[in-house]
Amino acid sequence: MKRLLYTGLLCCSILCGCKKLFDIQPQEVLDHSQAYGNVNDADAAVIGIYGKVMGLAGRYMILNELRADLVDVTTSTTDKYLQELNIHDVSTDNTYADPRPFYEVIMNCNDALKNFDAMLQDKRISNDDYILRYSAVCAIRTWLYLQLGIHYGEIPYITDPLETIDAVKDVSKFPRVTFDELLTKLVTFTEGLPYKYPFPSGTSLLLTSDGYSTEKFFINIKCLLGELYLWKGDYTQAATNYRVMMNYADVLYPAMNSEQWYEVYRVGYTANLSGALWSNIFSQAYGERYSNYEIIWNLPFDKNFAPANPFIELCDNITGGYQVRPSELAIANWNKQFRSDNTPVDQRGPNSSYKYSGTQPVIKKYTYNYNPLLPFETNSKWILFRAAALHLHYAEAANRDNRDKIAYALMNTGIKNTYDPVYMATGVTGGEGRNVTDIEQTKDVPPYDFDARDGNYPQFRNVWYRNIGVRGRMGLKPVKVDSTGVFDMSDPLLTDKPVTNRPELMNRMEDLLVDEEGLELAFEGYRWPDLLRVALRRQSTDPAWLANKIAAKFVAANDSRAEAVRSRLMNKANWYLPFKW
Amino acid sequence: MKALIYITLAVLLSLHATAQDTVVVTGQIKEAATGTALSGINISVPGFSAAITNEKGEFRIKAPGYRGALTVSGPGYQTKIITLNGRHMVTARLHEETFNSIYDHKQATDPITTLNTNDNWQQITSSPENYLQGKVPGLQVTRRSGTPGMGADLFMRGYTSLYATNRPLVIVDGMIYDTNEYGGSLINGYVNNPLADIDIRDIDNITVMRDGISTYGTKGANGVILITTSHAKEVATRIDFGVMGGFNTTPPKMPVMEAGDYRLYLSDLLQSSGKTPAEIAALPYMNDNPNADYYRYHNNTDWQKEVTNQSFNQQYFLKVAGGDDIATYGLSLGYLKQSGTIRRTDLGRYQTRFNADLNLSARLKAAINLAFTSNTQKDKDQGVSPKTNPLYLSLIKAPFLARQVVNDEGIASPSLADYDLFGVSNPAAIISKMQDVNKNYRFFGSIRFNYLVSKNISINTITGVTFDKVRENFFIPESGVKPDTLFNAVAYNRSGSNVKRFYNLYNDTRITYDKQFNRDHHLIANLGVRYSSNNSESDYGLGYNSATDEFVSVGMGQNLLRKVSGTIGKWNWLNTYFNVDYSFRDKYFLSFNLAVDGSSRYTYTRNQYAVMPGLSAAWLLIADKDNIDALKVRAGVSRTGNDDIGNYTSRQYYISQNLLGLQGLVRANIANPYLKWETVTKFNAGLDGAFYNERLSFSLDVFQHRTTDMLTIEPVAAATGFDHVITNNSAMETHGVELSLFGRIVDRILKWDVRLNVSTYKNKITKIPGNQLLTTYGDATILTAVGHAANLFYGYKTNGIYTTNEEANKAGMGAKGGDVRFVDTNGDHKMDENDRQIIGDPNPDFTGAITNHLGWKHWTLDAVFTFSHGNDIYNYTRANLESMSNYNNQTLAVRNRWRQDGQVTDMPRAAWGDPNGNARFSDRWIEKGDYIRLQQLSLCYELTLKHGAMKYVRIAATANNLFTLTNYLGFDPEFSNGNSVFTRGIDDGLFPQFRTVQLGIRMGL
Repeated sequence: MKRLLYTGLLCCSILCGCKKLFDIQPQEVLDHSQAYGNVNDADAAVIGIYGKVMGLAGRYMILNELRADLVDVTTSTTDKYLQELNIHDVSTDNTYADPRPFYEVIMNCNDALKNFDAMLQDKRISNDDYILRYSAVCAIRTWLYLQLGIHYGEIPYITDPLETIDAVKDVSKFPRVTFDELLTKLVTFTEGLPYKYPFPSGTSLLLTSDGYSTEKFFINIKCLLGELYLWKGDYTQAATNYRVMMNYADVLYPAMNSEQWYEVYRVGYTANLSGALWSNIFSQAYGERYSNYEIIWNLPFDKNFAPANPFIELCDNITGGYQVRPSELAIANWNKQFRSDNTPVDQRGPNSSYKYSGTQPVIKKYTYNYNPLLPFETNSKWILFRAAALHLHYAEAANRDNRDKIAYALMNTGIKNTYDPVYMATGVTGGEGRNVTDIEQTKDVPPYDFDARDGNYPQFRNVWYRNIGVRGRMGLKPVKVDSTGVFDMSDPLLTDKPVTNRPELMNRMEDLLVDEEGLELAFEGYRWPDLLRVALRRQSTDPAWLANKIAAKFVAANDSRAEAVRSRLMNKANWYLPFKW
Repeated sequence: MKALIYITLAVLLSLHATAQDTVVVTGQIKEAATGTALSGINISVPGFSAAITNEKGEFRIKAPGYRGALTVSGPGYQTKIITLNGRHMVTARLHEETFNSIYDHKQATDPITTLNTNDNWQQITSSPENYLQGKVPGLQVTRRSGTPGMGADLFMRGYTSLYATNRPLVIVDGMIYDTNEYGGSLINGYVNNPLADIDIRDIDNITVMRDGISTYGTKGANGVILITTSHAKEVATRIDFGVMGGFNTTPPKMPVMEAGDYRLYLSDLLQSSGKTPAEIAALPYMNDNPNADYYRYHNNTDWQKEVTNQSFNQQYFLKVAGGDDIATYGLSLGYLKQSGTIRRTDLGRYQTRFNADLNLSARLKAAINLAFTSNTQKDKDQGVSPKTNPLYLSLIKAPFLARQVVNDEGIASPSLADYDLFGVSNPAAIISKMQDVNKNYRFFGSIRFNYLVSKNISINTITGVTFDKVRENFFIPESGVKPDTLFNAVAYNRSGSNVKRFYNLYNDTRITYDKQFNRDHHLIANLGVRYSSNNSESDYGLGYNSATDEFVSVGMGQNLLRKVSGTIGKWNWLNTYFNVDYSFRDKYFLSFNLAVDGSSRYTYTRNQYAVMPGLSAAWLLIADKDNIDALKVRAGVSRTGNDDIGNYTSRQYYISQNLLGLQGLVRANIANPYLKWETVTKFNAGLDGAFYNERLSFSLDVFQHRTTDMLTIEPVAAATGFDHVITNNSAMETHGVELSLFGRIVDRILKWDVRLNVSTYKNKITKIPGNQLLTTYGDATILTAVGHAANLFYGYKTNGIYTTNEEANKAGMGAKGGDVRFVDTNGDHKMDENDRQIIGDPNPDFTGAITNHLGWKHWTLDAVFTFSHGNDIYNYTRANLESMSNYNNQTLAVRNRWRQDGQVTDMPRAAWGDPNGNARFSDRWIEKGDYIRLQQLSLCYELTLKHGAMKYVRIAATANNLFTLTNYLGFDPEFSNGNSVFTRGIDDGLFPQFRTVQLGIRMGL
């Protein structure tokens, strides 16, 4: 019996000696041995990752907005998972509790990173090409992990590409970290990247495809670093990194004298983005000049390519499913703003951020040009980061770094006006005829050194002179903190009142910033992170802050579940979604 | 086990025994039926002596002893191996040649069934596996649908796999005949069936091996079917010519409502949607007063009549065989045209086969087998295809609508009506304008050499190729059909084109050693290698919105919307095998099989080879004693495998991912380099017996199959970013019993044979990750859980209808009066997924057939009854026809629906959108699939002509599916929508089987 077996095995080993017989490379897919041969394959990996990122758009919007205070479910939605998210009572079988789509992209990042390293080692890629792509992939992975941390709290931080089933079974490859530990890891990791700026021209990933330039497809690493530090509570570092991008026009327009140089990423007063034309940011075609003053990172949805634009199904009430809508609170917030001419209503609200379609309020930002009569014309932009967010987040960092005045300036009427005693006293600028040598500037150390001098005698047109502030751009009245108890108001002549209660001032200024972030950035995917970040910051002093913020949405909508939601959010564990393993 | 020890002892003892002296045996041979003495019958002791009977049927032969056996054979009669048992004189009665005798497999140690298909010419079948229905114990043959040529799904002893194939391996003339589909069909519900390329009239015999097939290595898990095609049996030239014509009757109609009932139903339904009686009365189809639309909505169309019809079949075949001492040949040509009973569906086939045998020298022989078949199938979409399945549309279409466009005066235009205001396509438009065409051909050819090296050693090699090509086209017109919505456009008309190619190069070379030692020991050993290299490719394109319905090809569609895709697969398989059959005194038999397989699917990554041993033994307890002709016990254990695990699954690979128009690469999988074949360990024990000169015989088998390393789609943690990884991580067991009973009830001039085959199996999952798996098909949920059969229906149980609103409110489940009362299994007063239970089992308790054969002079009558008992069917079609939630027409049963408080009925209320989920997957739609069917009845008359050019003329009248006894409410309880276990018993609207009557004549020249 045994001999027979051996005979058989012997025969086999002779006949099967030719191992090549059994090595058949797949032709319908790409075997791993064929991938990552040169820099083009590295580019293909980056493109693949971003292709996957686009698939996250709908989920990103829902998680970041519906859980916060500015978006509500419609009465017509039958999606119980959305309803659960809305009231912060998420069951484990909720599809949004499944972090898999994020990890799917992360796994591709891990795979690319590991293979980039191998490519560098075997000299399949030059060092210059390597650092750009390596950093780009690291950055998007970090952004994904930040999203996971925001929504799930404690998560497994996986850096292994999990190539085979052995890796999947290896528990050591799935270290679980708390959100705070995660932030530390992400900061350290991102700071260590070999390259942190947008791709230099000439990079093969910068091209135009199907009419879209890929220049703003990729995450901005400096902004990402700013965000990470802001979450981590290292405000100077946050401001420093944000500031790089606030000044990035210096790099883009090295002649330093054009309108672009003054206005790109500096929230200037160009007529094309101010007042009623603010909505150009969303309505203008991809890559159009003025929206480029504002947009730092965006990805286009094109009607001819998958994935389909998810926002129509979510938001539109005629051809779409009308799953979510602007909350009553969001609508009220815009309605209670006053412009500098004392007329009511913030123009960023009605017919810009949302509109009434029939009698139903519909989120408009993502589907600005969408016409239900042309249901297949679905092109739109998914804006992931833009200058107003940069300024408001910078302001948030500056405020926490004891620069309440800079925060005030960037939020309200700009550096020039805020650092102009005449304007601050009268509300009217002192004009260019003065000698402004000593005013209209912060006279602070970097990253808080803004020079907005704008005068004729002597001539100044300094870099920040066009900065108009987020509210200023809309022609809105400035918002001010309640001075009671925070400033020493005894000297009426003093423009910069001495601060008596710095922590309270910080909180009040921050509240204003949070409100402004809501008005400016509503529905764009910043809201829940903005609220959560502040809530975490104030957790020890004001544990009810987040619960109150969210409950306000239900109060404004006369929804009887306000108290239930408030009490659920009093428990910090409910700030995070259950992590579905 | 004990038997094994005795056998071994006997063998050892016999080696020491000395040869006996020569003895003489005398005897007489008679014909069994008439008792007349037979002359010219060969009597032999193989390798020792031979004799022939005289005119009195007597013979005298030398034999090595009185414990051996005589082989008796003669033209026109069966071959018998008669054990002497010490007798000096033997009387034997021979049955006719076609008699299915135990002597044919007296030496077999494994369950094997051989069918001599001498009745093949009168069959009405477009695919040979239909012939096997009910004839082989343990082989469940379920015809797929009423589409001609689609054949049947074969399940040998239940099933062995969840995700890999459950198809038996088919070997035609020594070469593997690939029956898998590579790339699906564009025609919904259609299955390309390569087996149909073998004409049943070209088949000499079929051997079905349920066990003892370890030498086929990782291809043998589901048993093996060996098909031998006909070769010339004599050198004289023979010409056979046959013509057959038949008639198919329209399938019975499903009882759906006519216009009057339907209007009442709509009115109820619309009221439930919140419309007021005034609003309803104003609807054009409710308004009975003269108005412009009156004639458009006041018809009473029988839509089923528009899509079904009676149809005709015709078949022709010509066979020429002959040759000389050096070469013989057989050539056959055939043409077939079979129409379906769905209008404008048919199958046309040309087929040709050339088989030749060459005696190249005394030692070298060669055989050539070449076959080419070409099919053209015109079909329609079937199964779940709500916009284009004409049969389904004919059931749901509003009866008050007209087939053609009608003007205000009620005059019908010749053009067909467009899809209606309810969004339902016009079934007549699908019939007349939609195209679904499958054209395919297969070349299957091989050449075999047999070289006799010495008296005992021979070398046999066969080399062959399979080349298969399928072309499919479909076109769905704009007119009459509801448009489809793509993500970037509305698709008004749709076209598709598909090309599939399969190429296989096959070689099987073996060396055989055959020797008789010492008169008592007989040894046959084979050592061989099989090599198979395969290449498959499928490419398809889909086009949309061509300018008009006259432009039907993909290239005419809009450029922007066109889609192109496909698959390419390559794999190699190398199988080294060894087998030895040993017998001692024709009484003890031992068989050992071993295969070592390598394959590109699993060998490369970790250098693993599949080792498949098998051992079986048989003991002829009693042979030719008193009235017992034979009583034999058999037992065997073997291991086989299933290599249908995907060509590249064990590798890590990347697929493309777009970013707008840019193409990037992303990971496609988590590789599993350990991935290997599924292993099926088979245990079999059997008992065969024949009594009263084989007037009565039986064969009983019990078996157990244990599948281990079963392919699993195993879920992985969310944090891996993947849903699953393919592993060999589950297991299941199947055990069962098969019984075959045969009786020659009358054996005179009139002969009457009855055979009963019954088989049963029970399946149980023994291991699966997560202990259970839920899959869905149609609206059904299928449970695969440890301790249960692999494919149970898992849904809600119902307990009648809430007769009043009050009663419904009391239950507190949110239901209203007239809603279905679902069973709240966990008592949480909430109907949700947790309340689901096992509600049905698609696996039958037993299946089988009763075959009758009557012969009287020149007349023969055959009747085959097939039956199935204990299987449940999910009637998906009825679930749609009694959901009462939308505009679809419904069955007559809904006339009995709940309408008012207190009404006691079993049919719930009509409710728009079905808020209570009355139509959800529940035991309301699970029905018993029991049936017994007269599958075939055929009467044949043979005219023997002594003179003239013609040798014989045979006339046959045959009918298929004459009647079916069943309580099943759907069209037909016999259907199969796939080889997967997860789709078993789900009746999703396939075209039903139909009744066929055929008259045929065959002439021999």
